[in-house]
Amino acid sequence: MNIEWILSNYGVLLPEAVLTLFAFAIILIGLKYRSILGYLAFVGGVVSLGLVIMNFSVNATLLYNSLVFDPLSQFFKVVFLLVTLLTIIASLRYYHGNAHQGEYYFLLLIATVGMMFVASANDLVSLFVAFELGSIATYVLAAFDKENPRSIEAGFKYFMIGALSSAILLLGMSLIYGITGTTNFTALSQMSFEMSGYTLAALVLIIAGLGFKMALVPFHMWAPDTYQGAPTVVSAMLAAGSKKMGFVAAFKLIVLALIALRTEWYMVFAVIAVITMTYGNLVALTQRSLKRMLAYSSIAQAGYIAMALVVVSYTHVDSVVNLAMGGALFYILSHAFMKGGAFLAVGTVGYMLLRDKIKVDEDDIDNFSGLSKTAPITAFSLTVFLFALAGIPLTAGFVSKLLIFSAAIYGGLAWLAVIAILNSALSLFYYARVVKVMYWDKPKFDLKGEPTAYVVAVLLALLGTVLLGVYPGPFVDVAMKVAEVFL
Amino acid sequence: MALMDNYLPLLVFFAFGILVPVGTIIFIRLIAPRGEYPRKHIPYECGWLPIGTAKIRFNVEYYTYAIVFLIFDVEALFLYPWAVSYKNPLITVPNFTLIACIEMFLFIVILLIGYVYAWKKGALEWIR
Amino acid sequence: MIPVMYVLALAMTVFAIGVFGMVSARSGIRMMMSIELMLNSANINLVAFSNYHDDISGQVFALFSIALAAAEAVVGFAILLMIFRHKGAINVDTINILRW
Repeated sequence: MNIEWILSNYGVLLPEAVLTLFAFAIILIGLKYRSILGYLAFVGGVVSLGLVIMNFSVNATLLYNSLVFDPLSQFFKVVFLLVTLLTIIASLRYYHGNAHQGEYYFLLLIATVGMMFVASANDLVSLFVAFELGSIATYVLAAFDKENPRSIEAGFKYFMIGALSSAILLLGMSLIYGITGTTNFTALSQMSFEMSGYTLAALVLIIAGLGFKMALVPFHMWAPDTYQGAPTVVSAMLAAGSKKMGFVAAFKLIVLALIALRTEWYMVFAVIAVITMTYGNLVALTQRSLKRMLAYSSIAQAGYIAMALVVVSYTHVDSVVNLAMGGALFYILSHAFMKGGAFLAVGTVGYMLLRDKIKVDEDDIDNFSGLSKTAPITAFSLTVFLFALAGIPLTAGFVSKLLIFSAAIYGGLAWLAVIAILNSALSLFYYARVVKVMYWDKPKFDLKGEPTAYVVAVLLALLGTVLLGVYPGPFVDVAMKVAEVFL
Repeated sequence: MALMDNYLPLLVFFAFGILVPVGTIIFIRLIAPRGEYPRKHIPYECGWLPIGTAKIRFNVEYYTYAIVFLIFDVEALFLYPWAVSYKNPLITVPNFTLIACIEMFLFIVILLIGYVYAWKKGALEWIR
Repeated sequence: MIPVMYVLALAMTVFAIGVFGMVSARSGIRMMMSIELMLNSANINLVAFSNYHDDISGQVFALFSIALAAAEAVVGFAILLMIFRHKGAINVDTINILRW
């Protein structure tokens, strides 16, 4: 009787449990056999994804209300698992025969478990623990190619800034706990705060701590270095997955738990969103390294998503709040495909250069000249991803920008929408430059054949990007339905 | 004055704490012979002449040992609150002991996997 | 009982020392130490507030954060070790391949 009771109550934990189980199996099997690990990780991810989707409209709390399972958490889990699966497929080729595959796939799965728990967290303690689990694993992943000084440097910078940000976040959380005497989000959301220096300090510390993870300007310094230096498959995971962990934490902690303080954070987020998108786009203009350009574009995209936070804090109209948050969620889903795909496409070229023993900087823009002739699938996919990031119609990026910008206009923040649209136009400039180099310039290197695993991953991301752009209806519906949690 | 009474022992303690080292230093200054000779600048190593410099690199093995120790040492921290609340009659959550038991079992299994990993990787063997 | 204000002041001082150390340090180890200081200042806060509110969850939070700080330190030192292998030093000035 007791066992059944536990199964019926803890069944919602099954996706995380399966993933953890696979991770431990991988690290133990990896001590002896290495060839099957990637496939094992893939199977684990697929099973976990299936379980999450089966339980999509669940509504349950667990462990004394410290974990909550609702459509919001399930939505983010789907995003995290999709990104992880794309990364695993590409890694099958990149880490083929690597002596440390066991550790790699273990860390990848454990990082995903951490992110999934962040999506489910309903308490400061569980949020912080899950946040750290998701972060610490990715520090190691960023420094994983330990023979490559760039990777080590990326890992070091990521680690130092990440550890600093978690210390700041923890201090902010401790102040929130000191002011209210509770750590539970449900209790916090019903609390009425009186404005004081402590509340303000706590709010600033929390926004700073989470801003580091979301790579919002002025907390973005680590992102370009880390995305450039880390192995490209890991950069894809960081930009498309790990960054979303910061967003879900911000949605939970700031929008759900500290909603009483919304008037206080309106101006903060308005300024941050504007400088984030402008700075990201301006600096991306001058980059020669494609990974670095994508990193800055990723910062700009974070600025667009942060617009949702501005709108939510400014307006009290339910339909606008729903549109803004639904738009942000849809943006997060499509950004996972666009950015993940773009990094993987860049990684394909890097891998081909490495395989053909051409000694150049792996992601310099010159390597991409004439790519349409030597690697047509990669070149075409990268073109679609870049146009999607710029927000060209018939791609996922267009629909997501449309949703967020119209939410800003309905919410009475037309000036914000205008700045964002100008920024999008600006971003098209540097995206188009890459496309021009790929299609109009002469090939620089004679690259032989695209690696299958990479192509599969890139094509899957392409499928997602185009599907969300051409046939967005059902996905927008889902995002709007999920966003009702915030009302 | 009650407050002062409470803190008086502390004050005396502090006073002695400052007086003893300062007094010793002054006393030594007064009676110790002075002189400058080169041997005075050699680090003291149990009375023997030191061999080599003190700024050597330590074996990296110490580091892996320290890491493994650190992990298991800190994780043991969670056993205490668990042990205290395991049979606590004030907790009225249904099936609490069963859940607590399973949780601790999972926790130890996870630690054990880490231990097996470290062991098999040879982190516990001393390689020279 | 010590007023909670004093403890808060202590925690903030420790945090400020940590921030100063983080900004001024040239050695990776020193930066790690500063981060530990900052995390521990939050722990002081948590335990003090736990006492103040007569609520146990703050102390549990502090326990978790101590364990996490240890895990973080292990990863950090491992990365520093790799830097030492490459550069022969852990001076942060030498870590400058990636810029702009």
